[in-house]
Amino acid sequence: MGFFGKFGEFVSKHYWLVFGIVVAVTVFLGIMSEKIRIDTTWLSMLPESEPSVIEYKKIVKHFDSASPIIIAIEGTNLNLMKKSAKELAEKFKSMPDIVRDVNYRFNVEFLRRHGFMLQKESVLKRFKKIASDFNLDGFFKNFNDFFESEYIEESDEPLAKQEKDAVRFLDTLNDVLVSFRDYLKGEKGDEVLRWAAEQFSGGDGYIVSRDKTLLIMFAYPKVPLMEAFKAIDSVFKVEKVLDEFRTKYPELDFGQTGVYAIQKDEMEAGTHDTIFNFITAFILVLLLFMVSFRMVSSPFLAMTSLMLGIIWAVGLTYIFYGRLNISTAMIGPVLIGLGVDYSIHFLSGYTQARYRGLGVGESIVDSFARVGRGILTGALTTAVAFMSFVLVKISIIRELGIVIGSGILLTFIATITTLPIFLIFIEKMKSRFKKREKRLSGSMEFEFLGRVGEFVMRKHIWVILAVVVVTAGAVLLIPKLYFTGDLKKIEAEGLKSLELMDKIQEKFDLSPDSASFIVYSLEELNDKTEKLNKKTSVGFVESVATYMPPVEKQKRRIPLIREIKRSILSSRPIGKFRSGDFVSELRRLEANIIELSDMAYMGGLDRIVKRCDEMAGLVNGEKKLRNIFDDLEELVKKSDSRKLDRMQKIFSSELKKRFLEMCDTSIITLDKLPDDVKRLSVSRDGKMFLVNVYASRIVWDKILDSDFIKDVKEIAPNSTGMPIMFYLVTKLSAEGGKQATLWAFITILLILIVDFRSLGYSVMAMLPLIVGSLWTLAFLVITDFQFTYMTAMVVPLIMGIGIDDGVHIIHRYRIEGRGSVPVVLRTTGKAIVLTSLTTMIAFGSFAFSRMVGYRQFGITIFAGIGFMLLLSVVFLPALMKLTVDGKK
Amino acid sequence: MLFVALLTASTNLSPVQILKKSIDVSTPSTMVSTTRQIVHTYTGKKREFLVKSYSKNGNDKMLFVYLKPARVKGDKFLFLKGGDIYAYFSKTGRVRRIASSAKKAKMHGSDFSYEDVQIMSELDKNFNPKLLHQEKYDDRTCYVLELKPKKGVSFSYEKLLAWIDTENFTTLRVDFYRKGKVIKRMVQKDFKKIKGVWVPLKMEMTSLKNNTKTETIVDEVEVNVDVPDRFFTLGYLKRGG
Repeated sequence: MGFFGKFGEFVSKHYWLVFGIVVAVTVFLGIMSEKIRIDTTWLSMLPESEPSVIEYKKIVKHFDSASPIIIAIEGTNLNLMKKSAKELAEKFKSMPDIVRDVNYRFNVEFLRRHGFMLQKESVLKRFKKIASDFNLDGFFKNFNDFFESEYIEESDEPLAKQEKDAVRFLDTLNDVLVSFRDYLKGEKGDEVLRWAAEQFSGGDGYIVSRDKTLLIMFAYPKVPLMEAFKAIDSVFKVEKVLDEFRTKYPELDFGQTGVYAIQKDEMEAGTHDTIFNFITAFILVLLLFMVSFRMVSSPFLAMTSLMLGIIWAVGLTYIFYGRLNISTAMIGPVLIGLGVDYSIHFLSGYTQARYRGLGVGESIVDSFARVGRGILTGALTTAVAFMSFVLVKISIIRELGIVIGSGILLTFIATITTLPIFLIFIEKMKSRFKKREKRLSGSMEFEFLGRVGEFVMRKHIWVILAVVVVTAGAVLLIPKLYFTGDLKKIEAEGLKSLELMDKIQEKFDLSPDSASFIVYSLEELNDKTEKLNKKTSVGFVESVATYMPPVEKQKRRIPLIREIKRSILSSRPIGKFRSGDFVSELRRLEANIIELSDMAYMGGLDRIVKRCDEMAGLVNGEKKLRNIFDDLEELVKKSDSRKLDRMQKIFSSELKKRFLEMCDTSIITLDKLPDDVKRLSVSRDGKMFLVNVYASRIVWDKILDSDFIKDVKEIAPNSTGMPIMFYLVTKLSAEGGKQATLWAFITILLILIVDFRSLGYSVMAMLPLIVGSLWTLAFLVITDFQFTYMTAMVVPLIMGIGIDDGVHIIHRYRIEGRGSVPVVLRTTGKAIVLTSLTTMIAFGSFAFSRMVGYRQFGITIFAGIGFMLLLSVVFLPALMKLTVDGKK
Repeated sequence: MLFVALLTASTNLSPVQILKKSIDVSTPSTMVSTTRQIVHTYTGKKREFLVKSYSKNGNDKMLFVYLKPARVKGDKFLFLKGGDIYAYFSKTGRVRRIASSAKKAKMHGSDFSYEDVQIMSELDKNFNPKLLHQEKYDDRTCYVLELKPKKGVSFSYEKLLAWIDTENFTTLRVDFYRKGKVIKRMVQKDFKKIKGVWVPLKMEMTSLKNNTKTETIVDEVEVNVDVPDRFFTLGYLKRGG
């Protein structure tokens, strides 16, 4: 009697002792597993030692402003939106445990005072002329002159930035014209004219979209992002506040986005998927088990053993890692798929023994003696294949290997310890109640496998040729496989935070995603800010440099500002409104806008084209709609002169006053910066400066080829932030997938050589794995799933899972001898098909995930294991016939 | 062919002579062409235009008339020696003078600046050439000339590198340098000899700074034909064509 026979004897004799140990282990690991949290955020994939993670932590430690929660307020009543933003800011300020700072508007007082000092010299030169006349006809005349010289000027700034500036300029112009229209129509009073003048001199500080329907503000959470679960609690608390405001302001909509909110949504979707997939896999595998064994209670007992194994595995994972991450969260379905195999084999042996008339204890011993070694080899092979991932340099892949590898061994131990005990208990109960387990009707035999074997023996050359042809087709497709950087394709569908992100991008023409880095001197700050500003991929650079240009530049601006001031002071007195001159300048402005639209169209500056077309009522470049200029001309002609004079007086006086305020020529130094700016951009010890760089366009659709990331990394190699970290996750997954494939291949080959003690058989067993892997890669091309941070792992996984099939077939063949292929398939085939089906079902359950990445992953593994199964029962026997079996 | 190439390559031409020849072989006295201009924008979009162009005395005078698409049909750009540039917009009926300081600006939305176009026919007058070496480019043996602006010549780039075919002296590629970096690259290909003038039927200008590209494909071309001087007047810009 071998080891397993003795083990079976021990279990059947001392089942109460074993039961006691099982209970103790289950209680302990069960308590541990209770504590585990599912962290399915992508951030969980980055190693702590990654420089971007370290830099991020540094930013969190020294600055208040890392990764804000972006609050969006939507509505049609701008004043109400501003009021609610102010109240919301007050509310957040009263929650210092959750939000350490809040920013709902720029510091306009500072901007108002130093407005001209923050402008480029080329702009200041033009302002001098504009400021020479505040009467609306003169102002618009100067404005038109300015306009006509603007878009032909060569600039060192990239097109994207020039386009953004032009769009902002057009938006302000449109705001002013619309204000005039609203005033002349009588829809709004004097305040709209003051507001218009304010727009021309820097605005009121609120961050509002061009169409005035979206206002955003920033709340800076106290808990850093890396403390994933606490950070997510902050999001829930903020959401609670937003709920209060939704009730208070039913006409407005409040939402949150940014990396915190996205993490929360991802976590919710991931947790839903993990639980849902687990339950689906459990039920489907149980059903398959019942149907294939035509029993009810035994499969149920087997699944219970499996569940205990999974609880142990999760408990152990908690001890090792404290969490399940985006890849280890699949542990449940994976272990159901793989772990149930041991029960299948054990129960097969047990039921056969029982039908031979052996008692319960004898049947357990008999089953262990027959299948124990085989299932141990199966478990060890797969576990070692997974554990080979520890050789991969990327920690997340190592974690996956250890968690799944140890999980496989634990489910194996759970099966061999608990399933016999359960069987003993159930038999005792049955004998007490004199019940016999009912066999279900129907059959799930696999007689056809024998016929398949016979067919393969007859047509083995054709089978091999067919496989070669399909594989050649696959090989032709594989070059089309690439690592997709389109992360939007793999995220969960319908995540509110991501939808809001898109909306912000659309309405503000600016990606809300930013990269951040720390600099240690003002010189470095100015140098890097200037370099970044020249990059097309960069939309906006936020730092104290935004509020404090280099001193030499400020000094060069002083004489120009003084000239502007003189120009303002000697400007034409504000007098009567000149309707005729105003209208003609208005029409000149319209012509300028139309011409600008053509020029922008030729240069592909679509945002400018869109704005110009909207303002000038152009459809495909032709004026088809009534525009603001038509409205204003009509209103000016209809309005009485007193109203027009008043409009000019209020707007022009306000503008003149504001322009004068902006003429401060004192040099802006760090100590003059307002506290709210310093608090966000200067470290608490005053020695470091934070730079936030916003992308000019969304980066998620091609993260691996993102010019933004390349440009930022080139200028600031230490930069961090959501796009950069996601780039790293994707890149590390690509590398990890390759390394894991290599190590899985080497390990499996070594295991096979040790197991078979024959290089020939080892290579033969490897061939279906290699061919199946090639087919799976082609499958990724055909489905256009491509490689993602999830599917990058499919090849090493299916190699680890699929290896068992070939091993069982070759083992059995070597026992049965030459010419035994049909027999081998008839006997071993059933177990191979069943175990493959359970694994396919387990991974197939991922097809119902909310996370598209999980879905693609599950479907690909489903297909991959299917390929491996097909190749094991068809291709491998054909190979055997061609080589060993065909030998005389 | 190879023999001719080797013979030419071994000829001891000075850099100045190489440059002069390269201009002579590809600069007609007049040219009328219809070209498709494909602008690859920085946002990754593609925009195609059909443009009729007239030039005289090298590129001293140039007129571009937009034929397609409809939204810019009839828009014209007139380029005169000395840097005066005028634009006519068919929708507003206005002629706008674009100041000579705009020579560095993008020529009606393309990646060519007004200066790039003008300078190509006057390289020998404004630049000191230096032969760096010979190398294969696009399967052709080329002289690689470094061109630096002569003293007193104001130029937006610090230098150019030009790849000139050693056999027929066509210019296959020009790299434009600023602050030690290539910021633009012009590539000319599919040369056709028409009335003794080598005309590139395909041209590409890539702005490495803006990540944009303009392709020009010549559909029809005539060289050394009569092009009236009145084509290059403000009156014609507004009325004719």
